[in-house]
Amino acid sequence: MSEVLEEISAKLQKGKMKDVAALTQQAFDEGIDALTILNEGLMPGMDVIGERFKKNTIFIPEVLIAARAMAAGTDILRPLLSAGSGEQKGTVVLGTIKDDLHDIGKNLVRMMMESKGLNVIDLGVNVKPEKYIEAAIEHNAEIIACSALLTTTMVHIKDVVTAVQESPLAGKVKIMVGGAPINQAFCDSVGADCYSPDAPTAAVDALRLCSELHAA
Amino acid sequence: MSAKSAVSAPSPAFHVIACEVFRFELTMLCAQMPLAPQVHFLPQGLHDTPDLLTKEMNSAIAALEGAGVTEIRLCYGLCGRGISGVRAKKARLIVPRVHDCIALLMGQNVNDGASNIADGTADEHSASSDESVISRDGSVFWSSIGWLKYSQVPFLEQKEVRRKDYTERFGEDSAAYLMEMEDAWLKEYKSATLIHWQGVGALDTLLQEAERVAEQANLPLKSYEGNPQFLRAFLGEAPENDSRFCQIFVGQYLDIAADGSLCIMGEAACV
Repeated sequence: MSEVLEEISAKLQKGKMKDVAALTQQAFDEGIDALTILNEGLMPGMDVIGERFKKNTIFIPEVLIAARAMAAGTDILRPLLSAGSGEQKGTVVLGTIKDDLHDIGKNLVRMMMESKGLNVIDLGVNVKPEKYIEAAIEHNAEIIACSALLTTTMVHIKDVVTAVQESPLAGKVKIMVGGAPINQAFCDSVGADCYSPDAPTAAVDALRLCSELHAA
Repeated sequence: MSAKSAVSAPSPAFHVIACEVFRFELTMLCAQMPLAPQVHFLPQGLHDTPDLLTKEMNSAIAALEGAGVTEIRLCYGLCGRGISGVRAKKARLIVPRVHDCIALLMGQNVNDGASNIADGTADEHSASSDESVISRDGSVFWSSIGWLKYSQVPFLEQKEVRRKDYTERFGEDSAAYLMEMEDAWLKEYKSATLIHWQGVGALDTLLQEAERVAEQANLPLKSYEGNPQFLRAFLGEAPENDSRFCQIFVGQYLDIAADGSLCIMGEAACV
């Protein structure tokens, strides 16, 4: 692998936003195409961050600054990526469930999903079921992802599942769930499609679900 | 020492394991009891890591069971489902049928199914004709003497320590970003409320501290006088006969059903 791409990955893992931006530009100026810089420089760096976070060898601060560095790199690449050159990996509508105002976990999920090349429509917090549906229809989303941090609000996830089942999206989108009080048993009981225990896993799960939908 | 005083006064057979957030309220209530139980506190904040709460609680229960305790009352709510992983091997557990500490501090059942963010939109479940049940507004940032002492004030006071730590580890620019992210966590709330009990702490001091916390996000602060009756009933005679509490036998556990109700799950085993 090119030295500059390795350095991009290394600097991203250290959260060095300005260095990542400068090196990303340098890599392009040296003739490396934008997609290669993304797939072989930036994304591998975030993959390492994701694995370390899952193993608890790094924590939220390290992930936040790495994600910021990633965003600095992708901001450089966005106008350089020619139309159609990037894969359409999929679109996720993401939000913290109705009556829940916690967003740190959701934001981490967004960052990890974007680092995988997914298009994330972040609806914020306190999202009513109909808002997920509207956004998913507007953006042709493959996935609706609901986050809940409270046992008092996780019950609203069932309302989202029901709303999807009763909408034109029935059978066309997958519903992902996550958050501290959520587990697989709860996911199964409300009829959601996928439970992810952490942000890096959510990003991998979302890619997989999008691939499955595209293949169907 | 007289013969009378040489005989130890009997204490209730049950023990209490409590979140430290309740230390002041429980201390007051126990002081009012002719026979107060032993209360064992676990650190405040374990609800943020439900798996760790489960682990710490199971260890504490095992230790008490090993000492021959047969009834243990857990002064907790479901607390992020940290309590749903709790399993006794011998003892009978008594647990309040609540989601978290706020209902116990307020002293009323809280209809969390009727919670709605203060945007004027009523949830379809919002009406309750039972005056003993109140609706909890999801946009409120709650405080109490225990929350202030063990969580919110230390968080504020350690701010510069964290900034310095982030700067040393990640550099000034990243440190500034991380501090901005930290400050953002309160931004979605619309107001703050301090729950205080008569006789627990000095109200004006607590209000000052709560105001310091609320100011971080420009939240208007209200105060709410909590009623000790819920926790008093928890410490009293036969709470298992009160529908506000769950009696959990070996093999059972408290959890949340898909419809949001808090239920005893599992089958009671013969011990």
